[in-house]
Amino acid sequence: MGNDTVNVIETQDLSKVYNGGWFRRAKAPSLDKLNLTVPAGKIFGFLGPNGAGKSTTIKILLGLVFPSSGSATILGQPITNDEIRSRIGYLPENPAFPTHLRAGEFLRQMAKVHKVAGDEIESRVKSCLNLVGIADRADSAIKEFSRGMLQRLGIAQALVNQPELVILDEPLNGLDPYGRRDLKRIFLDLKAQKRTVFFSSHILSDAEDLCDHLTIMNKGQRIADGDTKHLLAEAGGMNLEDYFFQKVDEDNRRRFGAEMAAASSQSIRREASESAAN
Amino acid sequence: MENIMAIARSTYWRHAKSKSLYVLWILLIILIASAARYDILSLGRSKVLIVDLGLALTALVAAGSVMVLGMEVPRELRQRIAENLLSKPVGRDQYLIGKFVGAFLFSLGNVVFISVGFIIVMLMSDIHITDQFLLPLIGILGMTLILAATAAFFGTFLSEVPAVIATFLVFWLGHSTQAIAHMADRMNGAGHLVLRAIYGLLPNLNLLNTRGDFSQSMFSSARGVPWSYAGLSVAYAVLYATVMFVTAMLVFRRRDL
Repeated sequence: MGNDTVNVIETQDLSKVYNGGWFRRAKAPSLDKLNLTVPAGKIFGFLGPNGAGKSTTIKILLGLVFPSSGSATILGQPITNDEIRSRIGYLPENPAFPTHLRAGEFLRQMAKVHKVAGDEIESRVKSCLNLVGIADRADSAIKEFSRGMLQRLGIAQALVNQPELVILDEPLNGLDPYGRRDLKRIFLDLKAQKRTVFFSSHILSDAEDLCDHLTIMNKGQRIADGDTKHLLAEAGGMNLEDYFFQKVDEDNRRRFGAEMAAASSQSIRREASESAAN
Repeated sequence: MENIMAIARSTYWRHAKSKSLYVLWILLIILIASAARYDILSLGRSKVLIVDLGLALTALVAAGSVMVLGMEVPRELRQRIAENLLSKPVGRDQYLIGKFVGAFLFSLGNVVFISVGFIIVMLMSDIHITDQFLLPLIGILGMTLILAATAAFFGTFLSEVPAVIATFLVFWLGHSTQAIAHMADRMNGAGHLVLRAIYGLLPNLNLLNTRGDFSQSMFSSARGVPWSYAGLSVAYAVLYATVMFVTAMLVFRRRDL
């Protein structure tokens, strides 16, 4: 499996402002002119504190949320192309699946939706369930699954179409240490097969171990981006956790300073205009 | 088409697997049959009561079961089941059509089951059944079509409970359009305009309600509604449901999930 495109994801000035409130007047900016390139065949970490815009970016890439401005391509195609999603696997944050189905039944449905050839479906379903370690639960109803089992099933359904690009939103959530170890192995196997893994996470130690490349987001903007080893070496060999806090704190201070400066200049202007009027 | 049918099947079975549904069916059929025991209370008109009660309950079951669609789409959006499905090569229109078809088939299945039980009760009560019995059932299916499209419409932008309440209001007010028109005529100014607008927007579900005409024609010399009327009323239902459903698709296409 190989990718013809050098970058599997590219965004240009991607912005999103959510409109809330009764009359949709309240504006909540979530992404601010994001330029992102995700190289093919790498494990790409998309990091940031809560509200940084990670999930919004992922949802825009998958056509679930519409950008307010800017554009994006995925596997060389515009994100508006529904069919491109047959080459992508996706795991949402805190996934939920139809509870009336059994695990195997659900995976078969997902394989059909991805138009996997009929004679291949069974083998794909079995291999995916094996991969995530729940082959013995193929005939169990999803409603009986624990949080960790749902996460494993979610990873299985994201891989059932043998995607070129796997996008996972907080895939390590809810997994026990065994699950995390298995997932890391899956990521490395996918990379060995020249597939791209793009994932968001709060678990920085795992991201440091896994990621070839990472982007750190804060308040809708990219604040750090590059090759993981290179970034950490440039920062004096600190670990990812320290680097992450340093970058986010710096950005927050810069924003706070900019806000204070803006507020102070507004107040000076107001005072000046009041004294001119007097 | 495969995606639509897969979504429709999943929607149908999710609701059809509910055990309480079968208990409800049996209770309803018992309720219809029990009308035969009210011969004295109904002044010897127990057969009319059976037919009226049977048709009314069939209509209620059809309306109630199709209202699940009003809950289905917002629930799947809230639980992120829809998010996962729509991240696959499945169009939003396909998703909504699949949900609509699944809910309509679920309602149709319920109508068929209750109708079969109802027919058995009528045969046991020596009520002569003619092909005219299909006319009120066609009306019920027309109403179901409109309500399914309405539920889909509200489900695209409201959460579960408001969507079901809004669909129920359409069901209720859709049977009261004449009263709304009378009220509008009695009012002046803004009140008149608002009520006229509501009258114009609501489906006229009375057009599809031929249950009374059918039971009248069964037990008196009154003539039932002609087949041509059933054809025209179904055409009205299809047209109204199409407009409503296309509007639902347009809203859903633009919505952030």
